[in-house]
Amino acid sequence: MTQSFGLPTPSALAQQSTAPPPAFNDASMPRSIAGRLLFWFLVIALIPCAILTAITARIASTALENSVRNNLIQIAAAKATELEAYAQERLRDGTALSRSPSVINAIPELSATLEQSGVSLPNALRASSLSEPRPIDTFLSYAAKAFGYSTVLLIENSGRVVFSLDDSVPLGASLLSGTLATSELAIGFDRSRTLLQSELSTFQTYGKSGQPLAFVTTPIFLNGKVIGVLAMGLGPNRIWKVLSDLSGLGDTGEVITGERMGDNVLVTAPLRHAPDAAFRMLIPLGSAVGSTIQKAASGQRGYGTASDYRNQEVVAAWCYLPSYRWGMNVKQDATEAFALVRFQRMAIIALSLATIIGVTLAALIVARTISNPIRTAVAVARQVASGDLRANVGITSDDETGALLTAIQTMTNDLRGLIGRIQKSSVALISTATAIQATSSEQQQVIADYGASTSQAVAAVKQISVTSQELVRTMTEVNDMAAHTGAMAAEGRGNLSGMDGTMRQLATSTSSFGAKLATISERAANINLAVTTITKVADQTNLLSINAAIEAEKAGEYGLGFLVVAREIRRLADQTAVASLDIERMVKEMQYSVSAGVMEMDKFAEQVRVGVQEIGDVSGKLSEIISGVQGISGRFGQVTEGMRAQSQGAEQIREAMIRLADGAARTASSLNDFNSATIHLRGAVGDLKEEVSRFTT
Amino acid sequence: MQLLTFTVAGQTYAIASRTVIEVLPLVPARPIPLMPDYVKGIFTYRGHLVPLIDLGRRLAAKPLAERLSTRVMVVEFDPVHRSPSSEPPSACVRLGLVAENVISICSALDADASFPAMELPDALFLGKLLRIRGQTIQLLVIEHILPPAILRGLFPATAEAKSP
Repeated sequence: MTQSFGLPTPSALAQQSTAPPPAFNDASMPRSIAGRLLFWFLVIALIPCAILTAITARIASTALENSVRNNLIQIAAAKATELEAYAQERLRDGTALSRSPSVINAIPELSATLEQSGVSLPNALRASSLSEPRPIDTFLSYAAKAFGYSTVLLIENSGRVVFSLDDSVPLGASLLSGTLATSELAIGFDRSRTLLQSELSTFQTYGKSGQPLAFVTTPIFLNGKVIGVLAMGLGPNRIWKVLSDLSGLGDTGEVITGERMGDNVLVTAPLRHAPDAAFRMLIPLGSAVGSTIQKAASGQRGYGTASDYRNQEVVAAWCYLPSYRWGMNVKQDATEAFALVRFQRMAIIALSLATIIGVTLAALIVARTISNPIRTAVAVARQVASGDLRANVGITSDDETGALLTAIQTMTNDLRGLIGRIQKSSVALISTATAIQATSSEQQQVIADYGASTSQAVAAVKQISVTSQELVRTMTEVNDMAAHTGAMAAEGRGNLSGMDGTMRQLATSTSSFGAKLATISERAANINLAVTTITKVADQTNLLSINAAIEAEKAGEYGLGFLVVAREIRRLADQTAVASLDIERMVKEMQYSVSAGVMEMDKFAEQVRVGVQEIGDVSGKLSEIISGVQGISGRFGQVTEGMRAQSQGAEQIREAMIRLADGAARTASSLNDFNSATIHLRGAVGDLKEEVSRFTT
Repeated sequence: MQLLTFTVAGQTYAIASRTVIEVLPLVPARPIPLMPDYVKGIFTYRGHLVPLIDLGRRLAAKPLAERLSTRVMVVEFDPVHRSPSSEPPSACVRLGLVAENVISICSALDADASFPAMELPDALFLGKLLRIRGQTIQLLVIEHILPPAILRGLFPATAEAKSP
């Protein structure tokens, strides 16, 4: 049933026009009519069909499996019965033969012959070496042929073989010692002799022939006492023939037998898939492969599915054959056994798919007939919603959907007329609103200009008022300062007058000091003149004395005295010159000091004079200032008063202007309101027009 | 022998007083163009034109200070013969030598020590060295006080009359 949800979405199949508006979109169920029809068709058709199919398939599978099982079990039972019957027959053969007098009599005879012949025992007893056949030879070879035995042995009570039809067991060999002591024949011999009944040993290979033999051992009685054992070798061919009859097992079925040998299971018959497996193939106990034959060889009985020696999935029935101590296993490959079940499953699936496809097609066709007119109506409605009123409904039927389409057609026609009238009215409204808005805008602009001018005037007047106030304040401060300055100037003038007198006295004393210094300087100059004169005289004297000395030398002897006089004169002149030089230097220094003092005194006197003059000037100016300041102070008072009056007037003007500006602002604001109302009106009309213009008539 | 002493650049020099005609106060001299700087010029002495030599520039390459003791020594010598004869010949030339401290005359007999004259080709005017009362005095040979070329230039007639 879940397959119906995995199909392509029905809405995608049904939707051929544009995407649906969101209102159609909120359902969790299939959205379109086609989708919903499909969903319910599938639900109604498929649920009973699926339940019915499931039940039928279940019953059929069970029946098939049961038939396979019964078949296998029956075959297994039949084979087991047949083999057991064959084994019982052979035991009865042995029992019958052991009672025959020739066999009973043959044992002592053959024992006696064996005693006589001594060392050449084998040759003496060998039937083929005898010149004429003994009666026992003839009898036993005939019996073997008649019952299908490959060999017949006669064994003494002591375990010595005293008769043999062929070489598979050597004549004269002992079963209680040597290689044969552990053989199956020895076990059978021992059991028959002890239990006094016939026994069938398991198959084993004897001698050189390689042929597996099972011996039927039967005790031979003489006068109620066991004197020996009759052993008849039985080949496996007859059993294999039974097992190779595979009728009722199909192409892959087979019968497998095995016996336990230690930890392994030995396969004892040729297999369909391995013809030479007999007495060669070993299946280890506990391994995963061939588990059914392992169970059978362990004595169990059963039926089931398992993997065989080829590791193939098989269906098998197994049982135990006690006479042979074998497990038997009748099996068939699962693929063949259950082929019918698989075919049935495939048929059911194919049938289901065909049903789903048929139901889907039918649902789609039915849904299409219903949803087509509705979709047309939806398309028309959507066209009207998007504003196109030219839509025309082609009415095709006269059922319920036809009536719906007719109603839509009528509605569209009415709408078309109405919208046309609204469009015309809105155009007229818009032009009126535009005109109103333009007028109000102009008016608003005028008022705004008026308001701006008023504001500017207010600002200017306010500025004037502020400036006047500041001016008044400044003038007051200036007046105060002027009065203060006048007072200080008067005080300064008094001080200056005292200072002037002092300076004048200083100037007078400086002048007299300078005059005295000038006198000193003059005297020093006079001294200097005198010293210079002395120096010049000394110089002239020196010169005179030198020349005199020169002349005196030239005069030779006569001039010697004169030379001495000249030298003394020169020395005198030198001393005079030195003294005059000292005086000159001292006078010059004094003169220099005096002249420097004079110069400084002159400079000081000049400064004093200038100072006196400047003080006089300052004093005069101060007097002027004082008188000027006293005059100004009064006028400043008048100016301040005028300023104050002006400031008050400006303040009054400013208040009036502010009231005016308020009035203008109020007018502008009311005009603004009017204007915005007009804009709103125009916007509303524009919206209306836009809305209406969406419709195409 | 009497020596007339003077100083040039702080050092004491002397010339033989018998070559000296007269010691004069410093007199102005008329400069001679294109002459070495030690030839101060030419001045008039008793009706003759005599070249004036500045010993400061000649000996120490620096001008003399003009003081009262700075005087002109008028000397007369024969430019060819080294030792002038007792009677001045007509070929003798006169020079005015300016030096400082020309105020003293001393006698060569008072010398404690004497050193012979040096023979330097460029300074033939340097004579003996005398040590008098702890003072080293350099004697000057006034015939070589001027280089021969300058001497010939200043006194051409004398040179030509004497040269043959």
